[in-house]
Amino acid sequence: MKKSKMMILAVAATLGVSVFSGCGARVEDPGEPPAEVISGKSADAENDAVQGEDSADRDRTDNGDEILADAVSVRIGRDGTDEWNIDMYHNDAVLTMLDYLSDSALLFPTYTYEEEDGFVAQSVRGNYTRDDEVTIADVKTGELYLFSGGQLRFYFKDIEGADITATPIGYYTDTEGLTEAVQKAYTSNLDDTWGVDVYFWITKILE
Amino acid sequence: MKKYQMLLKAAWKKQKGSICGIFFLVSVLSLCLFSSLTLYVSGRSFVKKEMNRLGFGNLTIWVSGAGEGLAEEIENVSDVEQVICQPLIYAGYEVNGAYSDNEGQLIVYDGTVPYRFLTREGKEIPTPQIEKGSVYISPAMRSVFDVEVGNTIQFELSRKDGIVSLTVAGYFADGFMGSSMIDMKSFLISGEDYAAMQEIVSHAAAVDVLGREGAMLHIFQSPESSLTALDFHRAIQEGTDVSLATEFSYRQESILNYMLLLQNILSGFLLAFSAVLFLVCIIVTGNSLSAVVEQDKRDVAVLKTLGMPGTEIRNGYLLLYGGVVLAGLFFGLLFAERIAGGMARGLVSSTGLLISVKLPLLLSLLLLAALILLFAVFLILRTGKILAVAPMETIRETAGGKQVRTLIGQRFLEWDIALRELGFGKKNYIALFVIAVFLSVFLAVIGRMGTWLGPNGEGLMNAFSVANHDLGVQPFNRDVPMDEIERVIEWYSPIQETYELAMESVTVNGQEYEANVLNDTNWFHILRGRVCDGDSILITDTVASELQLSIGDTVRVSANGRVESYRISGIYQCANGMGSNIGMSMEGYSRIGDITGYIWCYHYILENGNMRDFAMNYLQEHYRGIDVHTNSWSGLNGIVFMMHVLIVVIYLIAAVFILVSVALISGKLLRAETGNMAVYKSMGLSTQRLRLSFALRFLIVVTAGTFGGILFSAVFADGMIRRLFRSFGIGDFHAGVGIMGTLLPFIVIPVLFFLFAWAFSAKLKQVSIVTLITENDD
Repeated sequence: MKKSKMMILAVAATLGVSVFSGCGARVEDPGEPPAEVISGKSADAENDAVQGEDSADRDRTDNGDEILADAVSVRIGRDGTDEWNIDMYHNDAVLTMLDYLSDSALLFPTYTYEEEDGFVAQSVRGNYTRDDEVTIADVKTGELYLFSGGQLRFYFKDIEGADITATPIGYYTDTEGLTEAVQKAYTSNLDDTWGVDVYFWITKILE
Repeated sequence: MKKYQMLLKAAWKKQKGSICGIFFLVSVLSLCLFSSLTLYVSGRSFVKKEMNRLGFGNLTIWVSGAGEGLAEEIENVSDVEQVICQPLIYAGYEVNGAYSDNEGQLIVYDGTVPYRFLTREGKEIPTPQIEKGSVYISPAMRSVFDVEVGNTIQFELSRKDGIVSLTVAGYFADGFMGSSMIDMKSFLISGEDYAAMQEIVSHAAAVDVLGREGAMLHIFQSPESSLTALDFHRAIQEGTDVSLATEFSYRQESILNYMLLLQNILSGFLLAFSAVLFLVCIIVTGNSLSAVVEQDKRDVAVLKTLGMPGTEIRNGYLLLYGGVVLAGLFFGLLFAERIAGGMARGLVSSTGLLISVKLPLLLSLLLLAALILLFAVFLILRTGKILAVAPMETIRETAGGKQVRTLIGQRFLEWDIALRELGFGKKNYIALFVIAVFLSVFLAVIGRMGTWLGPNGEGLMNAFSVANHDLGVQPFNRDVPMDEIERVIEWYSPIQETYELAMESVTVNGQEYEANVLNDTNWFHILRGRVCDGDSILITDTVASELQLSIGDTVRVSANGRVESYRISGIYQCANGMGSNIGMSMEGYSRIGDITGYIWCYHYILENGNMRDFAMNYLQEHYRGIDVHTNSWSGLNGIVFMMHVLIVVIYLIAAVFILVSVALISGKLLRAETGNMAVYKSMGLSTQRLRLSFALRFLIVVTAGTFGGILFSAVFADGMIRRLFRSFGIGDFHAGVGIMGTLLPFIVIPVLFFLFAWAFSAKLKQVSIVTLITENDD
């Protein structure tokens, strides 16, 4: 009988172990990340190295080979019906932005309308590098730029002597009537309950 | 009467083992059944009473801003009887270095709401005076944050000098947010602290403010109203502007289900297991009874020859076995309340209150009557044989039996003998086969659930989350350095994938739901149909059934005062809020909601998911203005732990049942095979080899039964569990082949039967040639 009792105990123990096996397996604590990870210095160094390799590609972009033609289509104003196409530059910021878009129209509200400075702006989500930033003296109607704080600006007027430092995003392929369309959208939206200045419907065309 | 006494006395002398075995089995069945029933019914009625006592109403809406105006507006809705406004302050909080996923709700305790105060163990204590600087919490927070009396909790009300530390002074029973299954938690504080917090929130600059004032609006439906709970909710949504200020809202039934989720899972499993135990009890009792009748055939014949009618003899057996079953059932009933009370005490740290357990008398008596009736019918049927016993025939009956052709080789002697005996007495082994089938079906089902659940609750995590992820980070302002945060996450583990999720309150055809908005809709768990786009939405099975909707229907979705029509493109799975949610694309939501606000949570899938907790802890400790969470939630650990304990307990009960069943059945088999065993012994076979052969018979039959049970569960279990899970909002279930659902029962059940049969076959030592001579004399 002693033997039987031992057997029962052994079975119960095996059972318990089998059922609990795999539960709460311990993982070693890796500690805390070093200062250079927090400051991003090592990442910047790596980026610099990568940047060097990429510069040849970017030259090609400057030569006009890497433009994403008709990347997105835009309707200006909540009730806007006219479609405006935008060509975009092939850079990291643009690729990140395009990731947020799809072939369904996105209603994009902008809360900043600057008549005098000729732009409509809104902060956008996403992590953007400043590697592609350039300084531009004169800005043309229909151009889009991303500023360091994540603000996306769409210039609906030619602004000479703007002197901005930003990442070029793209430009409207057709600018005729663009200024008027934005101004009309702004004035028709003055009583918006959310306080939006101008709405845009944005659709990604690029596959 | 004396005849019966004699009969019972004689039967007790001969069948002590069987009677005790049956008593034990029925007692365990009764304990399991009535204690789980008591826990289920008491829990439900206790929490419901507690909710009513604390004034939850038929519906409670949590709003931001002052609630009095809204309360008046809601009171004007024709079906509303009364609205009680309970002011509160929402604030994020940190306990013992851990940050809560949800904001805490700070409530001033002024006696208007009759909260009960508790000891650590859940026992009620007199109402204390809440001192300035102290806070009372739900006991469930112990299991979530490991917080004890004397610890401090930091409430974040403003970035600039707005962190208020309060010391935990004790516990209170929170009747509708206390459970660890509910992430939102309330805190009782003093009037002075509340006023100070109001001051901080109202004077903080917009960029610094973290906390905000709000209220719970407890809405009572008028007794004359004929609206269903769903329609009542809809009438309030459509008839007032409350949706503009709503943070979240819950109907009484939903909160009740959340509060009792753990008890319901526990009692549900035990109730289902009781059904299996009942079947096993019936089989074992029947088997044992037929063995006894067979064994006593000679005595029955003698009694009949002496003039005792067959019905009287049968009544004697019925009295004995019926009495044992009754005793077992009452024994279980007697202790059910205590066992349920013990379970309720063990669950205090997850329920947040000590459920007062009381045996549901009427229901228990009805169930008891049904069980007695079933057992009685069964016993009457099984003792029918006694009436058919003819005295002279029985005495004249000889040992002659059927012939079985099984060649016995020397090499596999034990195996061959086992097969031969099986062929000879197939009927005697049917009970074993059936018990193995029932047990394996149940153990395979519970094992499949364990496999699906995973060692850390991954199954539930995925079912309850909108889309799979390891880590989620939601920034609440523009100062949050998301690039730095991503570098930190990358350091812990490379990020494989990332997407963004917003969870916003919307109404669908006037009914409030949570909209899960994804910037990449491919992450939704689609069950049927296809993913949504800018013009369509996804709904869960729960929403489909609540609103009677199907794929292709058009619905009106509104939020922030805007309404748009959408087509339903598919059914998806997300059990969050018991399935009361819909799925939308960012494009779709942009038509009714502002997508540029800080509503987005960045979800990361890591190459090494095990690093998620380390990364979360680091981020929580080093960054402000973010909410960091994993794919888990506060109550998950409790569910996972309880499921694992439940599996072990059920296996242990099954093992005990197997032990008793084998004891009873092996006795019968050994008696039936005594003659053959004596012959084998006379041929020179050792007792050890005969015992092995005996245990092998059990192994063969039980393995076949277990195989059948596992096969059955493989075909039908997922469908059965899926139907059960739908009531919790989990639309899909698929476990597949796993160790716990397939391999474990397939090994454990046959091995246990084999070992116990080996242990009980020790009686074979006593079989000798003399037995053979005696048998032949017959």
